[in-house]
Amino acid sequence: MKIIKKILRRSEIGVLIPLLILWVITYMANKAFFSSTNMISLFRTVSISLLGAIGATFIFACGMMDLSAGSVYALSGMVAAISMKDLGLSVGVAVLLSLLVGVVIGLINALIVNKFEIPAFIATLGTQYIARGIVNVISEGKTYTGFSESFNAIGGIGFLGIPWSVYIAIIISIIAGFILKNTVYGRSLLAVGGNAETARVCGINIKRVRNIAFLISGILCAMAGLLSTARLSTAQVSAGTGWEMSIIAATIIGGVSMYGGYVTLIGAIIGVTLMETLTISMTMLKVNPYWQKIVIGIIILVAVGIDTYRRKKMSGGN
Amino acid sequence: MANNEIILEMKNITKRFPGVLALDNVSLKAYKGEIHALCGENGAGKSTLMKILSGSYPASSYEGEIYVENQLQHFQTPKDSEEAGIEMIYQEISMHLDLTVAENIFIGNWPKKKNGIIAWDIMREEAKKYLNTLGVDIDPDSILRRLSASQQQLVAIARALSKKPKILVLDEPTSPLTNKESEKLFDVLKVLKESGIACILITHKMEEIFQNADRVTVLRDGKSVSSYLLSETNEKQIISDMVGREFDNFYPKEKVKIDEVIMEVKNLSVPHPSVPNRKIIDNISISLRKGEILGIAGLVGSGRSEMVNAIYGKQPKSSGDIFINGKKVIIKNPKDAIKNGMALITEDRKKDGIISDMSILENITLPSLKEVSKFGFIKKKKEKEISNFHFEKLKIKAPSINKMVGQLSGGNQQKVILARWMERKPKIFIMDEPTRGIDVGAKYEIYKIMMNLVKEGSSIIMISSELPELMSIADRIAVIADQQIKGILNADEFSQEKIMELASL
Amino acid sequence: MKRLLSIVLLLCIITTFVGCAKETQTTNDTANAGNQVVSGGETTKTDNKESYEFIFVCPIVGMEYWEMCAQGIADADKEEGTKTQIIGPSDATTFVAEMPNYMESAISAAPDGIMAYAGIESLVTLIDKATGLGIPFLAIDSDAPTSSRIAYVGTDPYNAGYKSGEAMIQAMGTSGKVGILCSSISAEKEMKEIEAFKDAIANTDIEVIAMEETSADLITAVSKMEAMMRTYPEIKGVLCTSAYDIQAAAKVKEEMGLNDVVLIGYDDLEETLEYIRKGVVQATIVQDPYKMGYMGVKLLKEYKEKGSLEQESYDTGIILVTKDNVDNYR
Repeated sequence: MKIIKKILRRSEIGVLIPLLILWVITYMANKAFFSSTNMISLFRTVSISLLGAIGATFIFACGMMDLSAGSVYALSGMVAAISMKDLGLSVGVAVLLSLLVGVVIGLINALIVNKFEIPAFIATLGTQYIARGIVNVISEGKTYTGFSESFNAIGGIGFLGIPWSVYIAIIISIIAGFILKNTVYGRSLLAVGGNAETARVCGINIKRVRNIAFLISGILCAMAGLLSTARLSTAQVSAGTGWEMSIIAATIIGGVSMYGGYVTLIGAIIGVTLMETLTISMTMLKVNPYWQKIVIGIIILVAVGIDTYRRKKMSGGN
Repeated sequence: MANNEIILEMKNITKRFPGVLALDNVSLKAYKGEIHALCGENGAGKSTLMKILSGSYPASSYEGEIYVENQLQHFQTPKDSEEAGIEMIYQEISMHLDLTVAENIFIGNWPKKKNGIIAWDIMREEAKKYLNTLGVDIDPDSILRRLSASQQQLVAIARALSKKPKILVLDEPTSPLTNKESEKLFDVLKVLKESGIACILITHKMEEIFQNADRVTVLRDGKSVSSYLLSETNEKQIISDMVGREFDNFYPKEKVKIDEVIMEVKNLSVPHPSVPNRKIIDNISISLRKGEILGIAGLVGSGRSEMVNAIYGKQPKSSGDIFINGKKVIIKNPKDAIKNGMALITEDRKKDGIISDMSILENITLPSLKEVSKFGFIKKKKEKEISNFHFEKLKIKAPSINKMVGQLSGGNQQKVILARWMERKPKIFIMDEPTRGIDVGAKYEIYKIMMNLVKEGSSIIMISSELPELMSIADRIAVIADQQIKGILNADEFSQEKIMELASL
Repeated sequence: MKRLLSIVLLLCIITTFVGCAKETQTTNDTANAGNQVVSGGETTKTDNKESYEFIFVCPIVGMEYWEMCAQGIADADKEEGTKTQIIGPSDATTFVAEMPNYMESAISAAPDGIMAYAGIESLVTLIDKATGLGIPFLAIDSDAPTSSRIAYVGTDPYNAGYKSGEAMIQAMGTSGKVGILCSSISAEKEMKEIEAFKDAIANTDIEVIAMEETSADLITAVSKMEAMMRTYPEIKGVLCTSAYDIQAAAKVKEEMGLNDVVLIGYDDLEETLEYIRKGVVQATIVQDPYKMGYMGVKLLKEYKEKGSLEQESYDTGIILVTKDNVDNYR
């Protein structure tokens, strides 16, 4: 009983409840929702977006925003594709190069924000365009397909019928959670987001903290792009367009504070699951496609509304 | 003194919050045309009582009665309280910085022409009238943002006056003001006295009370402890009532052996933060000795904070060398300063002193993360130990070390900041207005902590605008004015006049 | 710091200009190849009537589809002795916003004629502006029927849609439930194609029971297709009106083992053709962008010489690609 009470008091309940309600309603409309094949597809998609959401969580934690996520996603996939198809490199090298994309863009973001002191929002908006442009240039607008089996397998099913990307997402989540709660870096990150000036007075190197956050975000987005490209065995020029907005939305819906200082990894996971479930639910609930966007918008507002109400009540008894 | 007519009576006010009895049978009697001081430590219930008076808490949420001019009142909303003639002037001046003075005065209360349109010219004239009553010369068309804090406050008072109040409540009004501005404010309040308005003054400052108030009521732990005519009481009595025990020594100054020079600052110049190509500190040199408390005095804007911030590496300096124990040290950022045994308590807690959304524990260990971790992993147990140690030693009042610092009182927040630095056992402790906005009891505790620090061999540089405090605690006082140190006084030379004289050079 | 920033900014601006010029340069080369004879050795244009200069405002320069169009233009230029410059944005995600800017540049260059993708609302006024300045405008691939364009060259979406309906009947039979995947429910072209599809199956027992929007994102398309097939297991055929949707549908069909479901798609991306060879996709409607470019140049020249054109709309036709002709339909 005590444990249940403790769980109910957690702030993530505010988003978990709408998610569970959505699941139940969708199940009632279509029993196939809880079938293993559907759940596997759902969590496969969730795991890919979750990597981006974890990256976004780190970025939000120190009070910044990364709008280049979608372009990194596309560029990493395209780099992997071109490495294998045009340059004939092995799968291993292609994977390394695609992750390197995340590192490079992350460093560029860090440089622009720290050296030129341009706000993260603007800086990453710029790299969003630049990275997307690079995708266009190196691919010449072509879509790449037909990769080797071993590459496609990365995006496929692994142990116990669970997709590899799910395992990867689980491991990354655990590592991320650990970093945020138990390491000096995690504490410094949250301090910078909570009050950067105070952190500075306490001797924390704000620039270094931000650099690492950008690096983490870059690598995770590149990983997501890589997994998605493997899963679809296609590298699309327009892949991930608008992706950064949906992972940012999912993260915020999950309860991570945009201004920094408060993060909840569990919240981010629930937020992403909610967003991905919505896409499927709309179809299974047979919602008219013309109405789908409206319904999704309403559900998002309700989820955030419940969450805000709970927060107010908790801090209102001041 | 005005006639003995009671204008306000709060009788047997009891207010409960879940788990807390905030006010227990509190009574307050204020008379027409008097300045009535309301004091008590933080948490004594002053703000709660005033919130009830202002109608922020509806009549149904507490027990007890409020009478204005002997008429029983039922305030359901702040508007009711306003209509009864009660006006509040809060610490955080909630004004509209981008509107003009006249607009701020009449906001929500616009003088209208017959057709419903705002009569701008009448508004301007009336504004001018109120400002004149207060004896201030401010152009009603100036944008509020451009005015100084004290001018803004006077506008707030003018706004209150435009509603023709019977009772004016001022919550720590002199916090953002200089001594001169505070004097001006009280002159204004004395003028208001003449017209029969009663002013309830919430304040910590004994000097203010004894120089300006007619009557004082003391609250402690949610109860009304005593109420005196100023002529019938003294400082010691009031402080004892506030704190609940005999209060002998206001400033626990002890004699400490002062040793050799521990830090020398040579040729320090600091660029002006807002005026380009200007220096706010020009070629200053000063030394600090082991075990001493060096006071820094000066008017607001003289560059005291900028000077210490530059020494600490928080702000860039345009020139200057720092020597610690005879060796030159390079301090380019706070990290360097900390490495060299320095600590800085900043002027504005909220801005750069605490991280409100983090716990006491997290705030305390922030500069010491390396020491409580191994290979980058935080040792939670050690963290907890350290935090609990300071939590108890400094008597921080909170349910546990996991409480969010933003929810603590000012005094407790300051203790957390002290704990944070004390953990590092700094040799050189810089404190910028360490007791600002803190009640008497907590102030005393902080003075004691400071004495312990110097007894154990640390040195303190202390900036303070409260001269009595500075003169009682410091061993030497350096006075800063016009980009320079105008003089360094030894303890036997301390006097308020001398300091003010140097500060105005 | 400020100086460094201005230098960086300046470099960015220069790079942008170089980038823009480069686009037009590379596609110009193919067009120029055939014109050496005309401009060789002469510094000024002598005979205007012989060497018309046109501009093609392309919506997504570099995309495979439009590369074919460019090829058609290059060949026509060679045959007709004309010179067509190709300009346009290269980003699929922003072309809607950028087309008007490129149109403006084209108009400012005062060419003998402009041909462009006209499927954007904001272009209508610009088309009229060009016409007002005496520059004839020819709509390519997507039409702007309310504007003053001299003609439309491209696929007739209605024809394409109708053919897709016939293909569905051919592959599935005259009865069954059908689902539709489209990239955007607000895209006029796709909606017309779907309307025509419905007309083609009007007299049969085929019923459309679901339609989902995919925003041309593969991952979304895959999710939607899976969800649709799980919600309506009775679907026997799926129509996909955009190139990525048919790929997603084919992928899901394979993974879920839905071997009896008929897939009809659009466009001829290599993967789609592969799926046709494998029998996963039954047919795809292929447009002829080469012909659009080719005819476009020729029609513009005709208009300049005769002062008018015979038709208002020129259908470049569609090819229905099935297993039978997948390797030799071009």
